[in-house]
Amino acid sequence: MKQLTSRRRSFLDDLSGYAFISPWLLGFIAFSIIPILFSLYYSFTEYDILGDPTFNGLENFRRMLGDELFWQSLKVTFFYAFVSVPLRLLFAFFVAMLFNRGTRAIRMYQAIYYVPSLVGGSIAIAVMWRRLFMADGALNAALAKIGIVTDISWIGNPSTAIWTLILLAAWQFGSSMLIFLAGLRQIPRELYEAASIDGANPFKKFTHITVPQITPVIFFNLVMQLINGFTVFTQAFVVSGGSGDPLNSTLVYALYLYQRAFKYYDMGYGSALAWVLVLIIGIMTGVVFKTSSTWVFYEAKEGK
Amino acid sequence: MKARTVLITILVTLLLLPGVLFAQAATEETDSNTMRLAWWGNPTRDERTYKAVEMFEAKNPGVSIETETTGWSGYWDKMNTQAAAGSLPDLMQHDYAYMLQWVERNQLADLTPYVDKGIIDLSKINDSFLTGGMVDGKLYGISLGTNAVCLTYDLAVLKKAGISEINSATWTWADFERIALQVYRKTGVQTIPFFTTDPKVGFDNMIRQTGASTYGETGIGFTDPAALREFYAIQLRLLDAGALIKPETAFVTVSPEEGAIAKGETWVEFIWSNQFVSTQAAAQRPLEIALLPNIKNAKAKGTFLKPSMFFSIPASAENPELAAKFLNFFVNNIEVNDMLMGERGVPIPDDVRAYMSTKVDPINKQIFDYISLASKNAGPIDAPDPAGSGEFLKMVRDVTQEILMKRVSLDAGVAKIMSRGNDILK
Amino acid sequence: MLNRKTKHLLGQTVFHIIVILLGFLMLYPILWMISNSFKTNAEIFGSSSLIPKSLSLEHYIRGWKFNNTITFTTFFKNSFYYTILATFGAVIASSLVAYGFARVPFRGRSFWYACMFLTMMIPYQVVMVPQFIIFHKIGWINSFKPLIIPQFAGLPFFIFLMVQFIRQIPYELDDSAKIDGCNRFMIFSRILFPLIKPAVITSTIFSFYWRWDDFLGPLLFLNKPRLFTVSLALRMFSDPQTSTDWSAIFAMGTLSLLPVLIIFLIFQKYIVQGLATTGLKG
Repeated sequence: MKQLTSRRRSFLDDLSGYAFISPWLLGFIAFSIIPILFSLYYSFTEYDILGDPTFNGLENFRRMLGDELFWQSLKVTFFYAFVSVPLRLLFAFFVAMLFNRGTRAIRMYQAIYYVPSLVGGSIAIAVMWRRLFMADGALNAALAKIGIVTDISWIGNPSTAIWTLILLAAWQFGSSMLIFLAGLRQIPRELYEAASIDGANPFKKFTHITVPQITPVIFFNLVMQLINGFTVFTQAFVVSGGSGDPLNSTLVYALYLYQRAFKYYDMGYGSALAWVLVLIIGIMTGVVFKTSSTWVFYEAKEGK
Repeated sequence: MKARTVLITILVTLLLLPGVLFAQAATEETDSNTMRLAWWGNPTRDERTYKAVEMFEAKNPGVSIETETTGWSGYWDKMNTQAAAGSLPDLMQHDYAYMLQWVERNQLADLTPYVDKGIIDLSKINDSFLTGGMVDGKLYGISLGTNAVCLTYDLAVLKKAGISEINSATWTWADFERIALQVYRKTGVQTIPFFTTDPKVGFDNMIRQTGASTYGETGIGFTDPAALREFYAIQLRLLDAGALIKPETAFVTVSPEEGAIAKGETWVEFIWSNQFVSTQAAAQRPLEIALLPNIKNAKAKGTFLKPSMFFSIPASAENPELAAKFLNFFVNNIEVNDMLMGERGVPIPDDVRAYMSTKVDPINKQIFDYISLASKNAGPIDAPDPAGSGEFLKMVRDVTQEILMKRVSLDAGVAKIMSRGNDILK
Repeated sequence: MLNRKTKHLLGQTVFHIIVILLGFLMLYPILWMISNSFKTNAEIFGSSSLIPKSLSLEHYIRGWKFNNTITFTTFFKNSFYYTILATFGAVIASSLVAYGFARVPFRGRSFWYACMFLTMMIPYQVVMVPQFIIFHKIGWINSFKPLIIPQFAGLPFFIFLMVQFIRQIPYELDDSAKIDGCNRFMIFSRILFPLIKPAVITSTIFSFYWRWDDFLGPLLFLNKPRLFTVSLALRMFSDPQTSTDWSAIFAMGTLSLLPVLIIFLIFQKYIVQGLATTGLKG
């Protein structure tokens, strides 16, 4: 941005600048700032949408401490995000390494592996997923074919239900794979060639060149996907039938918030829950950024 | 450069064109000939209700009714959202338990004006059938039928296990347990956990037999947890004997066709009497109906007759007159009730009921017989559910699963229901 | 000993076998769904087979009719209406705003740009409740307004993407156009907009996907079946307590994926490119 600010400003520039950003600016005020302020206010009130909000101080936050389902939803969400995101990135990285070679068929393979990411967010897939993991679903039928006969209901058992959601997330590793693949291809060839001359073996090349070069990409994706992981809703809503069943084992945070706000009309408490989510995401992002310097390799020519 | 501009233009036009074409797609129609109708249901009920709608539309050319249906568990979430958004349908199925709460929130319209105008005809209906839908002398809902809690069982399986009959009026939970074990030992057929959709309905019956009720003025209405404890103890004993269907499977919500009784995995299922129609249709084999068993030293009757499947007109309805007209048709018309076949319960108008009892349809006869048996063995109905009951029911269902999946002990689970219940309902 | 060539060939073969097997596993759930749309319920339960006994379209016809009063024609119309209008708004507005941020040196630019970045980090759940209440008060519930109009403010993610793109374009182009007598809007619409085509197309595709699959928005704001999008209708259709017609549900589910898949096939190149640029650096 440095090079841009050096240009001279004029009143006309101000005018046209604000004219150009006005759609966003208006939207920002109307659909972000105002709702955010309201949300902050509601989080200190009791509000059932039919009446008027009544101020109750920190009561909503105090109530969270004793709210079993709040803690349960936090537990579920953390488990979900911290298992599914690394799992997905790991898959993505592994497959990207596999594809990082010049075979003509790669383009087609890429497309095939990307398809789950493409459709994974749709309701149709979530509905199908539920059917897939029921006691009489395709998974048990397939297991039976290879000799493992079981009547376990994967979506009905509290210990396995969350794994169906994690699997659904990990299954969509295609977009991360494409990103990593592009990252791998940007690593300068000379680095590998130089290493070969120095007599490095493939493993050494991987740990000394590939991994350090790709970490910024992994890092960026880790942060973005963790944030998304904390706000997962649709899949949990559909696979659990909207309830977080069985035994609240799929009650992710966003689903609990939705239930509070739009099932029990606990708008004040719901808003407070939302702010706790902001806090968590903020802290998480902060921690990842703070620690990133120890494990993320940035190119020397910094300052772009 | 030019080719690019052309491409962009084409792209944008392609994007815009359908937008313009579809622009009229989502407009709302609110003329006096359209109305929305919502109910919770099951495949059998949905099919019959669609037919009733078609019959009404055929009789009233130009009228069109839009239908919305979900299962019981999703229905109230949806209706609550619609209530908050001010977009309730013109006619909605309602439940005795929730009606008072809705009236207090001013969501329902008084039906008396439509009765006075002659749109709704109550002349054939005994007043006792109407009181359930009345609050402070105003009529907020008309019931489509009378129901009672029951259990349905597969007599063929019992016979295979050497049990010839159940004396429904006198049997006890000890009998039930003995039968369940014997059936499992002799035939391998299991027992389903009691009332998996809403376990409260099950223990409610036992608590009523002790002379108390589940809900009190504030908090829960009973202090002695013995009945509640027994409700779970029986199931746990069956579970330990291998005779109970695993809760992991039993508590997954499925349609009747995929239910355990339809698939022959259980000899018994716990339902409301009107659900017998859809259960029977899904099972495709003869089933019997019985009263819930008695507890030891019962002080009162657990069973009660419930005016069920109310239909109410929301205060925000856009076309209440048409809704009232349909409601009248739905309740009083003999032809339509002939097709509905008491799927929502035993009809309340005298002439319709008299007509229906002459019908030889065996399933209906079973339900009629059961209702008359139940009415001889019924106590008065409890007060409607207090506010917060929705949350209470969810908690009960959660703890029930915790107990049956052995994540908490029986005593801790029961204590949890008592204390959490008092918190939620205070 | 194997010579180098056969060793290479063997490696290639093993690679292809592994990749194809894994690829089949990846696609299996989708293929299973498609094949289920031709099966009967009895064939679906307890079966992992991908081959239906017959290939009739009866489940599609039955599913399309939905409940006879409203059909999937309405739901698809609604989905297209919402998706196309929202996408159009989001992309056009984003490109305008991006130009402003990237090229016009107005006062407070850095501040607003930072604000925009912050909104990308704030979860939707925060504004969900007050937005519902506000839209409720101004009577926007049960219309497409709360879903479409905010899109006309542009999407931070797209704005960011386009700003990155515009910055790569040399200033000389702007300057020469200015000498030719173009004003800022003309520079934007005639010179820069065509040049950021890849970013525009990427944003269009992403917006299309997100709007088409959007579930929470319609769930909150559309409560009348006549207004339902395909996503909502599918969810209502597959209510676990009332639905037994899995074949019809899967048939409509398959159809709901078609627009997404078709766009993917047409714009494959741009999607791969777009993902690479959006996901590589912050």
